[in-house]
Amino acid sequence: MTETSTFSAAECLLRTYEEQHDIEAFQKGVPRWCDGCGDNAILASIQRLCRDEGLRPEKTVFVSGIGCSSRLPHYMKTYGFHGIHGRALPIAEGVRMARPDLNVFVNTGDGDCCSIGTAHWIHAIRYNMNMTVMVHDNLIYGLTKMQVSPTTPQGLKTNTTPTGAYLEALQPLTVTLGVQNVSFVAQVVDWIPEVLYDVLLAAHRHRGLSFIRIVQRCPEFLPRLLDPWVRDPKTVLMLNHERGLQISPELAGVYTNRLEHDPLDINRAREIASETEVIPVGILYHNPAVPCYEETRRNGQLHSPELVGRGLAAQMDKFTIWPDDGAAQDA
Amino acid sequence: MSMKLQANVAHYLNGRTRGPGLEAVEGLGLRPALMAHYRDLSELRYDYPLLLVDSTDRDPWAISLSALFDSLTAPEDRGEVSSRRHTALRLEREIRRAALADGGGRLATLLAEAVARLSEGADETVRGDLEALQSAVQLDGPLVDCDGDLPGRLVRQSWQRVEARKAHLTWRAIERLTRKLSDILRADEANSGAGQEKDRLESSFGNSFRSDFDFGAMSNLLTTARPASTLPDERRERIRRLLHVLRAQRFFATPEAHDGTGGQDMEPYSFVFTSSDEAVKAYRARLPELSELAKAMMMADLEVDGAYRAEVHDHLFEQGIDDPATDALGLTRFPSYLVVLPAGRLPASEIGPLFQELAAGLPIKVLLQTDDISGPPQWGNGDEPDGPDGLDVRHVTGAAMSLSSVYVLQTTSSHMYRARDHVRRAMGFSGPALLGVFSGAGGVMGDLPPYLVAAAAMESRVFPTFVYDPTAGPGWASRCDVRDNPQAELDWPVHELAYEDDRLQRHAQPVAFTAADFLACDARNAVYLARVPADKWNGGLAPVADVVAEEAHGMPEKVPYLLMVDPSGGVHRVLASRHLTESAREYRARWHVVRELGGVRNSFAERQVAEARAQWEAERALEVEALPPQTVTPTVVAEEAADGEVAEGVTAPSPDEPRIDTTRCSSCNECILINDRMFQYDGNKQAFIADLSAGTYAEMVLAAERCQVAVIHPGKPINPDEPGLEDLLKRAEQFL
Ligand SMILES: Cc1ncc(C[n+]2csc(CCOP(=O)(O)OP(=O)(O)O)c2C)c(N)n1
Ligand code: SF4
Ligand code: SF4
Ligand SMILES: [Mg+2]
Repeated sequence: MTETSTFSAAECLLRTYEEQHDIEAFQKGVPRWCDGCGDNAILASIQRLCRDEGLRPEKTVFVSGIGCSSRLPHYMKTYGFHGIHGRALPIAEGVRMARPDLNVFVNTGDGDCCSIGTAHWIHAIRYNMNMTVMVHDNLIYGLTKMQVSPTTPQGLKTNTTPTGAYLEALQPLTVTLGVQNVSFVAQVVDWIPEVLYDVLLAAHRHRGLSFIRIVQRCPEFLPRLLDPWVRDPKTVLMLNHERGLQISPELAGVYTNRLEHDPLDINRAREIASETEVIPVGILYHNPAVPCYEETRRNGQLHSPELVGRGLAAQMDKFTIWPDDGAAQDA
Repeated sequence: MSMKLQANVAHYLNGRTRGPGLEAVEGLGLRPALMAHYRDLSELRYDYPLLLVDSTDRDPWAISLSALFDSLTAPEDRGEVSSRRHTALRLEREIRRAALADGGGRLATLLAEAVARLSEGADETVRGDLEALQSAVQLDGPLVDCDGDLPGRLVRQSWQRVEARKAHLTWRAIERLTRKLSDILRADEANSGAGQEKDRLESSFGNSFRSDFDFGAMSNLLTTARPASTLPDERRERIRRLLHVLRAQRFFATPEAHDGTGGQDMEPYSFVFTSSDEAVKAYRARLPELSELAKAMMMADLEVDGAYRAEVHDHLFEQGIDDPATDALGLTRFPSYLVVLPAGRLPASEIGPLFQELAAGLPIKVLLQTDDISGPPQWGNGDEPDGPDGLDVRHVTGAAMSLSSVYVLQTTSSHMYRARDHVRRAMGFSGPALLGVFSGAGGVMGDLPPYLVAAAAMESRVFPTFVYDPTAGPGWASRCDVRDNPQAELDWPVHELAYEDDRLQRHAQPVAFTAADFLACDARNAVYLARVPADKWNGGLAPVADVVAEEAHGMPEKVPYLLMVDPSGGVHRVLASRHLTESAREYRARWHVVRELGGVRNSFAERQVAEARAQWEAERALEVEALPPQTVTPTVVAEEAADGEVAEGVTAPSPDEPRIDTTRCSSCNECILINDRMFQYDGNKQAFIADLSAGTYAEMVLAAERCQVAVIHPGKPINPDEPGLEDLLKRAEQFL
């Protein structure tokens, strides 16, 4: 009976009986990705998350841009928005603003996010709206058949750089960690599904924008490229911390290259993100205290038909049309 | 015993006897020496008058005139005698005088009048300053003095603020639910045959192109292509029922009803009462309706969320859930009841109902005020402050504290402004709250204004201030706060008294302000006082505070006296009889109890601390002895420790056994595409070997080779006759 406690046993009880769904309930159609594509692992982890967190399909939306990775919403039996190239984030922001009751996920590719969509990416981080953003980084434009992407390793031959990629690759993590208001940054690889799932879970539960770079294999165009990392556990640096992920004993037996890293330490996070020899996996940065844009902007007004009508009328009134062509205007 | 001493002792014992050398005090205009300096309050800057700010949502909700004027001048100006600051202070004094003389008024009016008066004949600069000050005052509302009405007005103001906020939030929730439920019905209707009739379609269309359309054909098209799924009847009925309940509620005035533009069918309820009995009756009578509303809100919440499942929720709402009107959430959503009892003792007829509702945790805020607590001595002659007609306020607050879930505030009107945050918290607290206030406005203390009477009551421990806040922690010391009392660690507050005697000699001495000093202000107690002329002062007299500090064993060694002053500043020693002295002793004892509850000088804690310290020191000594000569902080090498752990705990699987590291499967489909009976996904969509005999060793090896993350281990073939085994075994080697 305290001033702050507004716990209602009745309300909790009523919500206990929400419908449960198994993984199949979230699956729609047969994925048209190439056999063995890393996107399958991401899809499987997402579906597990939806089931375990009891997300209701009608309260969940997946937004994407264009690319192989951006096909993911088609395979989820939830709401989905297959947007236009590079514009997944602004669409998701609109959804978030208009429908704060929905769980918003964004699936985007390295090309979609870090090339054509870069402006939106930077500002989305700064807005810090509550959503989970997965960048399926396969280091290539997959859908347009092996064109160079900003994250393509220097020297790699692609259809658009037949003599090898000219520039040093862009590192999405260090860029993200340099933007004001960043609140959650993690990196995972599609071939360690357990960590992929754990990070997704932490990201979903985080209030704010969670940015996850998923290093994703494209067996179609870069079949052997990531093999050294996939095959040798020593090349993966597992980040462990009581405020971040805690590696299970089974996994710890395989991935012995580990680092205690406090996800509140942004400077250390930036150092880790710049690592090139090994792939750091886990939560690099997590600060739950950063405010969400939509919460600071929400005025609590009910969007009643009258309110919308008044707003529209006000906008329309800005463009008064004078029937007798300007004469009245001059008067 | 000399005649003189005999007279003193006789007066001590029965008060009324004034032997030789003692004088009556009636007509001398005496007051306690420490109150000498407070005569004309309108010349002082203090907490009153107080502005009760009009608006319901702007802070502050109450501000003292002085604080308001301080906010008008920059802090750096305050110390100096800048022209503007000087004018501000004059203006403030002018308003205070007018407010105190006329018994209040509205700030804007008083301000305008004061500016007009001061501007007359003033020079340019002053007039400019006055104008600037007047336009800088943004707040308005009634200015109230510290009088008998103050507690009620302040409490009501705070309660209204809290309730307005609550009503705003809850009303908005109701409005939202109403709208969303109506939307569901509207959408259903639009989908229905009625919504697609020709006329309906036509009326929903703009004028410009109406003639271009054949609405009849359109209606035909739509009705034949209409999706079969409309709202189930049962759900539509439920939504209609909910809408009815939400619209018929009388617990909140709709905003339209507020601004007079429209209204509710039924008058909204009132929640202000003058008796606990009436309040509790109203509460109970309205409870079924409130429960219905609370349930409707919950159902509507599920309904608009699409989460209402009739098969479970119907039953739960009928019998299975706690009443949402009275649970913690309900208490923060729905109105609380304000009870302002008539000033005086708590009448006998109210005792039962009040304690019942407090103990039951009903959302009720009770103000019990008293104006007179200084009547003839209550102790020493068998009298208690409670009478046959009711309970003293201080006993009611004390008893309420022991219920442990009631927010209790005891204070005086003089202190109420300082305690306004507690008042606000009491009103916002989700359970019951009780406020016991002494107003000082009983009119029994001669020319002392209520503010001084109330302040003296608190200062003298006769009416200490304290707050008991059930949300402030788990124990008494954190919940009960007595620190607002002056010099709380002492029996009585002690101040330096400086005065000149008849021969113009300066004296300064520390003087305690006791309960007897307070009681001595009341003319009804003059009989217990007797002045001792200065030439009769002797060593047989001692200040009341000293006498009371000694254990009481019948007749004290010295006769107790009080220091009092007359209107011209002359200091007198005045004997205080047993009745006043024993009252002071009793108030002191009660003060000790209050103080201990508030954790100031807690005797139990002091003992415990001493014991614990001794024990800690002893243990520490032993530890130090047992310490090795040097200690090394162990550095944890996480990797090694964890690896060792795993190596010990897990036995390595046999390489002959075909298996998949399922938890590491990345769901890439490769193996499943090769043979979906041999390989299958588990509940987490990760592959395992479902049936080894459903496929060949060749398929197993191929799957291992295709597996993107190399988690398939083919083991040894189960069929030794499978063709090409030699080659397959070689290929399988790298995956063992
Ligand atoms: C505006 C626009 N420009 C270019 C394209 C062509 N296009 C389609 S997908 C794509 C790149 C996708 O790469 P990425 O985001 O990495 O996705 P992936 O296919 O690798 O998953 C491009 C350039 C387009 N569809 N729209
Ligand atoms: S091209 Fe690469 S990224 Fe695209 S579906 Fe095929 S394997 Fe996956
Ligand atoms: S081939 Fe390997 S990763 Fe792919 S589904 Fe089968 S076991 Fe899983
Ligand atoms: Mg790509």
